[in-house]
Amino acid sequence: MNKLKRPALVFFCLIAPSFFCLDTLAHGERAQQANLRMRTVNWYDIEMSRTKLDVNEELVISGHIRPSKFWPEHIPSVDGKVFLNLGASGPNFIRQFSHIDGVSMIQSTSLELGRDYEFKLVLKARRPGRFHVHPILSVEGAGTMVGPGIWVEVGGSGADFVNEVETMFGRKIDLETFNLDVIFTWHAIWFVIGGAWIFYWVRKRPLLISRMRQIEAAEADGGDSNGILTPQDRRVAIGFVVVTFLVIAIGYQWAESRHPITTPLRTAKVNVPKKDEPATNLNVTLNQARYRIPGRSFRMDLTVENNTNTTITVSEFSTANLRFINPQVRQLSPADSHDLVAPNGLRIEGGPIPAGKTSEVSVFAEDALWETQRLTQMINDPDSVIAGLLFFVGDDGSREVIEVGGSMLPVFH
Amino acid sequence: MSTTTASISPIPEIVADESVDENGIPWTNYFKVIIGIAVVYSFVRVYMHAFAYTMGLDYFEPEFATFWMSIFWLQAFVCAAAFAGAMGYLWVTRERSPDTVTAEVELSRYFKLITWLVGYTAVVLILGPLAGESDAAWHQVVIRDTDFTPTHISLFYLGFPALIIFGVGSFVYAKTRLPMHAKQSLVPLGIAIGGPILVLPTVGLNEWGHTFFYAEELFGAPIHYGFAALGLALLALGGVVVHILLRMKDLIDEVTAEVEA
Amino acid sequence: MSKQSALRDKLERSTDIFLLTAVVFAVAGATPFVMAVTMGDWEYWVDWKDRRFWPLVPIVLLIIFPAGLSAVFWTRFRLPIACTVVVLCYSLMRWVSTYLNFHVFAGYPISFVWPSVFIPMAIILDCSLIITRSVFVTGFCGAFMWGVLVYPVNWPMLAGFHEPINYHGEMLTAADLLGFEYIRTSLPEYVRIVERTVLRTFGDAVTPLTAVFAGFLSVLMYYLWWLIGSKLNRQTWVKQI
Repeated sequence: MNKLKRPALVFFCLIAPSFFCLDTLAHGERAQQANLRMRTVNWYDIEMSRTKLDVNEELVISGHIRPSKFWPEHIPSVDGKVFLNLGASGPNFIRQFSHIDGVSMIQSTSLELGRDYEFKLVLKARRPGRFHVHPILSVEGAGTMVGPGIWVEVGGSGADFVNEVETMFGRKIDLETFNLDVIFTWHAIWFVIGGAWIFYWVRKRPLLISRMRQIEAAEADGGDSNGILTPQDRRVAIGFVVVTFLVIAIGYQWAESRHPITTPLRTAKVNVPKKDEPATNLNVTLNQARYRIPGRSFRMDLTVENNTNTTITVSEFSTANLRFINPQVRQLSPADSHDLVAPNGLRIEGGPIPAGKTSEVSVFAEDALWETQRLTQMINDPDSVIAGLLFFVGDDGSREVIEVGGSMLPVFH
Repeated sequence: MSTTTASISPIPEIVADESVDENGIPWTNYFKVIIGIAVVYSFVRVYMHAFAYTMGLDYFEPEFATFWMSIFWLQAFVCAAAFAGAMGYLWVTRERSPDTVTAEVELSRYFKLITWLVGYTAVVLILGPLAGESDAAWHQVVIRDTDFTPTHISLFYLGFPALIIFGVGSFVYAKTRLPMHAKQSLVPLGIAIGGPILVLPTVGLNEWGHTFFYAEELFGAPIHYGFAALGLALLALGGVVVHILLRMKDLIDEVTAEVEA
Repeated sequence: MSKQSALRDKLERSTDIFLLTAVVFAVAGATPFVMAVTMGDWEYWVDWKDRRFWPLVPIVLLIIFPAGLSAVFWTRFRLPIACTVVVLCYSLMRWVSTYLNFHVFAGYPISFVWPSVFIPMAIILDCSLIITRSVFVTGFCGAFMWGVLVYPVNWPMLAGFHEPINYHGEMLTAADLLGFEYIRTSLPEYVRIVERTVLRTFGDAVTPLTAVFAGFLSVLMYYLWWLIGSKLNRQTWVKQI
């Protein structure tokens, strides 16, 4: 035993710190196919109310989702069933409220492609640690469409967490520990009764072979193999049946008297009011999209028709939660080590587009993020179609968000 | 009447075997197998709790390779070596003349067969509600990543190889040591061992399905029915138990008949 | 006791310990494994314990191992303990898993993931065998009770979770609220297979109707798996594998 003590001690010293803080990694969205991430749900204007809070404090995540017009036709889309969800490596937060366009999202709903929706998730911190938190849209048959993630640090102690609600009969309950006394007691009662039944039979030992011998002997003699069973066995069995039914009846009556009024589980799909595609004064056509692998450079050649009253330029291109920023127009730094922002990732040729004019514009999204986020795998996807959001800002401070998409050609040299 | 504890006739093979008591019963191995499996899984479990969430959520992060893929390769090597070593040993030391095996020795070997089955079923116990449901719980809280996840690495790539080692080991032990199994094979034993082992290729189907056409994490999804069907093969253990008892009954009668009254 | 008898007892007792260890491990491992991938969803989460599917699916499927092993335990040993052994082992391992996997590892409160009680139904099924000494009558009456009783047996624990709550103007049960608040990233709400509104109500008797249906199906399942257990318990040998 002494030989094992030292290595065991070393092992535990190495891993012990991990038990005192929950520090989770980013999630597994990089395992998803590139085109699925680019052509399903666009997330933008995502805001977290804070990134440092304590247990029991509130965190609000809000933003916009725009299901892609270029959704792969072979994958079930948002017009089936969707659910506004969260990825935080477990119930480290509780969801107190969520809505899409003001409609409560306790249940599932369905959406439309190409429409712009506003969402909000109100969370309450439950366990201390550092978590990568993502809003998620779960789509039936397609999977989890993961939004951008941000690191959130939660301090305090999990033991302080309280989740109290009041039922419609004025009973205050803490959902964390509700009814545990009843559950443990009821299970214990039945474990004891069940254990007693088994003990009655296995207390006589030896058991198996001797019983087998007796049965074989009875059958060989042409006798009744049930002769091994005694009248006492039968009386005990009847006793157990009576006790079992009695305990069931008492338990049921007790439950009915304690909770005389109950309702079934709630199931219903909710409806988000139908809407049109976002109105726009721009007409943007993607003429060609190319991805040059050696330079990690994604190029889009666009024809932009500016029907606004102001000069516009491209400030951002967003796809698969990657954000390529045009530094000439906007300064934005990554919020943390895993924030997928390329502050200098966007380069425009063909310049700002004056009001009322149509221009040929080339947009270059260039950053190592293409590779580190495994989007270069788009050249391995069977359908070479890409999509993403272009953000156009005007000199008057206005902004238009336009989705573009189409075929993509890889450039290998 | 005398109440002195009797033992079976002192057969040289049993006397020379340090792993059994005077009656040829391998109590030491019985406890070693159970405790050994429990200790190994405890280490696995502690490691998983320590590093699953911190280092195991994203296959493409470098920490994953350090903390998890290294374990995967270590397991692959150790399990392959253990399998080859165990089966090789069983084969090389097989009974060369099954007709000359005495009742005492055969009885002792049946106890040893049951010890192999205890190891096998102990691994089943871990694979089902412990490792298996840890994977179930994991899939609820995280986004499905690749097939190499912390829970998969302990369940599929350690647990199932261990199941194969003990399961095939039980079968090969019976074949190479027990006279009744020397020239024929017991069908229930084959089913009880083969069924759960075939769960490993079913895992391939499951992962393929979850990757390509089944996006939800419903436990009762049809894609999982292969697991259910093969798990049900353990019902055949009843037949194995009956065989063992029938044969041991006869052997016990034989060995006790040689003891003076 | 003669030396021969003493030795025989010692050897047979050792056999009991060795074999029953393997049997208990097998049952405690295989039953949760098979049940997890068939009826697991309804058992893992309190917001799946409805009036239509939960009183039906878990109990009808859980009878598989008890019936199959009863065929051996009763036929060979006249031991009416198979159902209780299986269900006790299953229940014990469900608690171990609930605590270790769903509570400690995944982080869910036990009030959300507690397992149901099935032990009384197992006791009734085992006792039916010894009282009637007839497999047919046991299947007809005992297995019927097995299916029918799951709701009243679990109601003491479940009733509280079906109390309504006015949650920001919407009516939810405590179970629904637990399901909404405690996030399951990969199990969105639409996956839940629970009772939905239908046209016909059968006099508002959803639960009793489901219970009776569960009883009938349990009877059929009992006979079927007893037969399969009997076949698997036969001593068949092959020369070549």
